[in-house]
Amino acid sequence: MSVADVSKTFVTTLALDRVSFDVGAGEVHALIGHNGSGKSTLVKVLAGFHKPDGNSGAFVVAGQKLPYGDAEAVHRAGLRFIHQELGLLDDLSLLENLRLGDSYLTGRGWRVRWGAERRRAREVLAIVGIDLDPDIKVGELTPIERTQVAVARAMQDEEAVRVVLLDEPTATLPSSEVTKLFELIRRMTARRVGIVYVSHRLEEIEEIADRVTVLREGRVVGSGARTEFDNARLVSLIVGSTAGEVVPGSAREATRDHDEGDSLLAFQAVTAGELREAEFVVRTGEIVGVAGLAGSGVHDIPGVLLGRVPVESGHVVVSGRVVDDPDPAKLRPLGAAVMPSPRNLKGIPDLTVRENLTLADLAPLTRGWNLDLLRERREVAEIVDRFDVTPREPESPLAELSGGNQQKVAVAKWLRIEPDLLVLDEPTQGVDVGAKAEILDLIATAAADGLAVILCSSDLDDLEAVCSRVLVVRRGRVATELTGERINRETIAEECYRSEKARVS
Amino acid sequence: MSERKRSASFFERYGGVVLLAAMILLFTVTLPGKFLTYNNLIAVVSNQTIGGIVALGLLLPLAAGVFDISIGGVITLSVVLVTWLFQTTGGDMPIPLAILITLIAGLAAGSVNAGLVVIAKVDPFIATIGTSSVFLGISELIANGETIAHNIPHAFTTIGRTEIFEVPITTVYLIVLALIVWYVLDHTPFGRNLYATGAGREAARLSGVPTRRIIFTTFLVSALFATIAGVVYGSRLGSGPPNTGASYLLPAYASAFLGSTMIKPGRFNVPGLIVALFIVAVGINGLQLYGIPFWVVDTYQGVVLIVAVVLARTKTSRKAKRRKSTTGTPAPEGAQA
Repeated sequence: MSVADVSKTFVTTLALDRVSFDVGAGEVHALIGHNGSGKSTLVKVLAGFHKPDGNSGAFVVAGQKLPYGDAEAVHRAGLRFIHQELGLLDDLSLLENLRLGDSYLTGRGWRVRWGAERRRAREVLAIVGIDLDPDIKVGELTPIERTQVAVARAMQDEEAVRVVLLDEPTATLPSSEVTKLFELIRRMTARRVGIVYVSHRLEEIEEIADRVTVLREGRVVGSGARTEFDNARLVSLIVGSTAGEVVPGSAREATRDHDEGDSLLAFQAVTAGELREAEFVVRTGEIVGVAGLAGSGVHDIPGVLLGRVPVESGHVVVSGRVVDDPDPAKLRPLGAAVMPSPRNLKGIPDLTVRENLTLADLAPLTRGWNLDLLRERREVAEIVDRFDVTPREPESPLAELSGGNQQKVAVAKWLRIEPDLLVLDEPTQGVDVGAKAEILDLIATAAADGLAVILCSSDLDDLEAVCSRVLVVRRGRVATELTGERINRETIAEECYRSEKARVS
Repeated sequence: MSERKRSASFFERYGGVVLLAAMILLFTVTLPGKFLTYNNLIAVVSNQTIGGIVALGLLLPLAAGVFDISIGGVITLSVVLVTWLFQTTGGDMPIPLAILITLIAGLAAGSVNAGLVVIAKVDPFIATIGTSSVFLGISELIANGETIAHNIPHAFTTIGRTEIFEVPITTVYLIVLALIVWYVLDHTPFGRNLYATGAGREAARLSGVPTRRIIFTTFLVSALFATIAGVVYGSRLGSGPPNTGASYLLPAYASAFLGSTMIKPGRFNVPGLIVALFIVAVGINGLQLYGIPFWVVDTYQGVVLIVAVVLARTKTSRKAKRRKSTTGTPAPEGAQA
């Protein structure tokens, strides 16, 4: 399979810039890149979900040219996609999952021939070398068994399958099971199936890949045999060497060296979601960055505080008080506020900019039962000016603002309630460079006034620009703390990608 | 640019008012001496009062993003209960007490709905379909399957039949309640939080809005308004039929949805509701004056509901499309039509 010179433009941004990619029969080709590198866009183009720009080159599978944007043709040509979530339905049996979207073997009167179906299911499972009861509910399987079932489903019409793409297959697997996945991959390559392996984990790529392609900012920045790349080179390719110029330097200096403030937030051995006994403390006036790869548990830190990820064990301590099952309503009186990461949760698109800005706290605008709309308008006009929200039209729905301005509204909304501690999850995601600098500036300014900030960002430039400390989360643990000169994108990236030697056997 | 940024055009906002005016004009011209008479107009208005009160209460759960299908059941329960209280006491129960008991019963019915939805987390649609049937069943039990018509005090019927300066008092009730709901929705933090909950419940919760409490309250309010409507209805009839409340369900939804497409398009709002109420009422009245057969009324109401929902949908999808084409574009000032 190969694609040549694929470009894809979304509205104004070039997500893929003349990317070529191929995989041969029986080969494992790893595809890596940081968040936003264009990795998932490429996968979606291959799957026929996105249609690339008109000037893209040919899409060829086994000598046959395929049209772009035609998921069915892609399937017929023998490409199979296994996404991180696997796409299994927990409430259905293993057999039903294998047959999802397919027809069953039927006898007279459209009766399903369950006996024949069960035999067939066992044969399919044998391809991937597992022996499971076809009637078991998929929800009862272990993570590796689920992965195996997903692979079996992809491989069931074996003769037709040419390429299997695995997207972050180890994200949900315990490390002890990774070797089983590799066995499975070797089984497939032995059958002349080409594997596209998308992953963040360099040590896995080191072990399983024959070739590697690195994407950055929509371009192929490195491609070749695995042996040509060592981990250090891969990291530098992934991260790039051009540091962004978004540093509001003065604010940054002002916020460093706040070691001895009061503890505002502490995680004490918190296990929740992907987090495993995570520990850290945040003090007054600090901007603490939190970095980590997808699946490392970074986003479970705000998730826990928002009540979206249940705490399994450990304590969350806010302003010296243990908070069980935290949620925004419980944190507010303790002076803590959290901005969630998904854009549709940061604000409410159908409400106006004004209504969004004041939603987090209407009390200062309320006399008795009456909401003082005049005062609200005055205050909002002032906020919109101060945060430079454009266009200055507080009465238009939030949805009509650009992404950057929506982010500004979100940041302004949480700064407006003047918390002691503000947790920001991806405050600059999907924002152009200008707006990004402005948002970081707003955060730094507020921190200079004594606000403590936790900044969870997959943008390493953000962290380098404003943080006084950076915590790196790896495999659910706060693995490293970086301070001073070590806060730079290269070091942060190295720490994020550093392999846990113990787990590769 | 400022044209585009206006959340809705003049026609989107006031199209309904124009339509209503056009209908009135049409019927005035084509039905001379029949449509535009004081008695007919008063009849049109006063026929809308009970349905209007129900629809006003319904606005709250709808604005908060949940359905309350049980209002028909609650009206029936209320009509039957208030009249039965008189019948069973031989007309001796003080009127305020009977009304108070009925209102409390209505609030209890509302809190059953609220509890099922907020605490037991049952889908509101299913929960209130279920409770609606339960309330009907209880009404039939109380009424023993018959219309309650004995010992209804004359003073009770004046609640629904009095006129003030030749305006039926029920119209006054409608106006007062409409003002209250309008104030609550547009001028209190509760109303703001209600709209936020309806437009994005999880986002609202994460902003600190007590969404569960709000949804709970909306069910209490819609049940309370349905109960008031039931009491007014009972006093107008002077009896308690155990089977009529359900007919108010559909018109209430029709006018609430139609109302959400005008004045403040995309939002369930009181002025829009009032205009919608009269579009439905004037339409039916005109059709009846033309001598159109009995089955047209139900059909007309159904059509209005469907048209309203389609209208609301195409408006939002058009908005979404416009959004798609504008987001990401670093919209240069003044550009873009």
